[in-house]
Amino acid sequence: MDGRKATALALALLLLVVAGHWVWQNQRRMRAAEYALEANYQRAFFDMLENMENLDCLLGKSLASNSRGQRIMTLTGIWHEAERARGNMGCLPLGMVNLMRSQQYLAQLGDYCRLLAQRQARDQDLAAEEWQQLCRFHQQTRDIQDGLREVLAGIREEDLKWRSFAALKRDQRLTPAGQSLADGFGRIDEGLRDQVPTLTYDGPFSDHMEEREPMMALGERISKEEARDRALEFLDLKGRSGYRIEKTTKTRGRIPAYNIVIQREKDTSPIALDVSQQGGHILWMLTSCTPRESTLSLSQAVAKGEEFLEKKGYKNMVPTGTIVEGNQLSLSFVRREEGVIMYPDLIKLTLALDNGEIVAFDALGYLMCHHQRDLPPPVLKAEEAEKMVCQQMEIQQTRLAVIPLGTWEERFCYEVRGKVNGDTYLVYINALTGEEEELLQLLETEAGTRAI
Amino acid sequence: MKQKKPPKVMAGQRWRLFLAAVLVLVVTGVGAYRHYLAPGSLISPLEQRAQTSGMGEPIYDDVHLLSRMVASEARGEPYQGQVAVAAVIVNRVRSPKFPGTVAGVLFEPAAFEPVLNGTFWTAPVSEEHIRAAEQALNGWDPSYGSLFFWNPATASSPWIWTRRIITSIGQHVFGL
Repeated sequence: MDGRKATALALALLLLVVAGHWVWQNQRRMRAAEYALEANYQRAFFDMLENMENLDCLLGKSLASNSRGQRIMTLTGIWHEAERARGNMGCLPLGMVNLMRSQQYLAQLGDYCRLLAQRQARDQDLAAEEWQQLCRFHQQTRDIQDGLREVLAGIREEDLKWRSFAALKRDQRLTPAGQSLADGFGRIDEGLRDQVPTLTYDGPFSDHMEEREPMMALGERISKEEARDRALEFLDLKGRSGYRIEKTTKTRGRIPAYNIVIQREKDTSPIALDVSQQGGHILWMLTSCTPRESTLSLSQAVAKGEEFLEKKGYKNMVPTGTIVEGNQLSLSFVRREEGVIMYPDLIKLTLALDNGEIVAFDALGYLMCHHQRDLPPPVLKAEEAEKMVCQQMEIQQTRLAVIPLGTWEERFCYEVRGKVNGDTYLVYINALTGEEEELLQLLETEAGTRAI
Repeated sequence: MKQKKPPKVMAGQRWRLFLAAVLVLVVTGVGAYRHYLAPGSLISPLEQRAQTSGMGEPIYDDVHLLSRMVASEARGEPYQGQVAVAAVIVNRVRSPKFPGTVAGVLFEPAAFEPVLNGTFWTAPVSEEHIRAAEQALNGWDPSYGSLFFWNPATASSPWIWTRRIITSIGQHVFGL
């Protein structure tokens, strides 16, 4: 054996060792990742079991309790526990099983109990119907728990690992054991779909929220051609050249519309907008542009926005918020009627801060919510409302406003703006009853003020 | 040493040695690159902006994740389609049928292909993607509350077609 052969052999051996080490290390790393993943899934599953047990117990206590304070505690506990259960359920690798109904059940259970707790805190007693609903929730929660225990028994028997689910693609077949586990969850979900009636109450997760319709009459039906005309008018292109309409299609959202795409010669990307099939209102407009600099000041931009709305026929709109994002400014405007701020009647604009052009527009909120409100005169005087806010608050401003409640409902309130402990808050005191309806914190950021 | 090699070396042998050496170099080179260099070299506009914007801004994290979603799911789509994809995520967060946070919705196991195959983390995020995400967070929704979007050409699940179709933009169909 000469030197060269030996070198070649040594090199080959070295390669083998390197490759072997690499494979071994990869294997080890993969296994570590798999165990970490499995631990995560197991945690989610067992935490969910515990959440369900807590829900069962808390629902029972809320039925048995006769003390308002105690019941508020248990109902709030249900809300939190249901949200936690929902989060844990969302972590389970059951993508192939449809868990939407179970998610919805938990969300509604929590939301419903949150509202009950709020009502209890306002000295309202539990109505007979509400007590019945809690009983139903209690029974359904027990049914889900039974289903989960079956799943758990299956997991124990087959020594099933959750990660074997995660590795599967949607169209791949499951092992029989995996299938029985998936079926267990599928049965829970189906059980809810069959047995739980749709739930209508005043919360944002109520079933009736999905079928919202605009509160005002939008107007006569218009044709495709008329819709195009409205779009061109809105963009100040009517009677001009230098553009082409790329397409017009129909959309079937809450307000049926024509989706129109217009390309202007001077732009790189097109403008898209929706024109309502009834009344020809511009619902929204979007265009992609990247302004390279900001030359307009905030107040100049706000003035431009006001002028634009005025021109488009939206009168009496007052700016309520601004967010600067890059060289763009997003603005929200709401309607003011006889000094009352109508927060649901919302229009949003985005302006390019270099030339003041409107690059995005959204009137969906306004068109869905605006209507003749016929507000009664306020029962409370402004000074009386100011007396109802937290004593430490340094009040800056008080005005009348109509606010949305996250549902279809609105409330006629005094908006009291003031500082507590260095932070600014908006407190909404019902102008008719004096109830504190809503409390928002104004968060000052570099981009603008956000109400949370 | 090399100069003193015997003169009998055949061209083929030398070639084989060379090939082996190149192979070793390539394997270690690629390994080292993947190990040390690749993540750092992916600086998108998003990260650049993160360094200049203020701290403790919770809404910002959602923009970060959402624009990644737009970049990986709506690449090459018209702008309104990009905003609609981001809006579907926002709609899911608000819906009782899905987890209540942006991260919960995006990382729901097996919910989105890019999260499964990793393109969610590698697709380059452009300024347009970020603006689409911001616009959706600011409330623009060309999908009118849609909870699903799919590509009719590649959608494998027949179940998806049982959904109520709201609109179609670019390659995507949006539905409830």
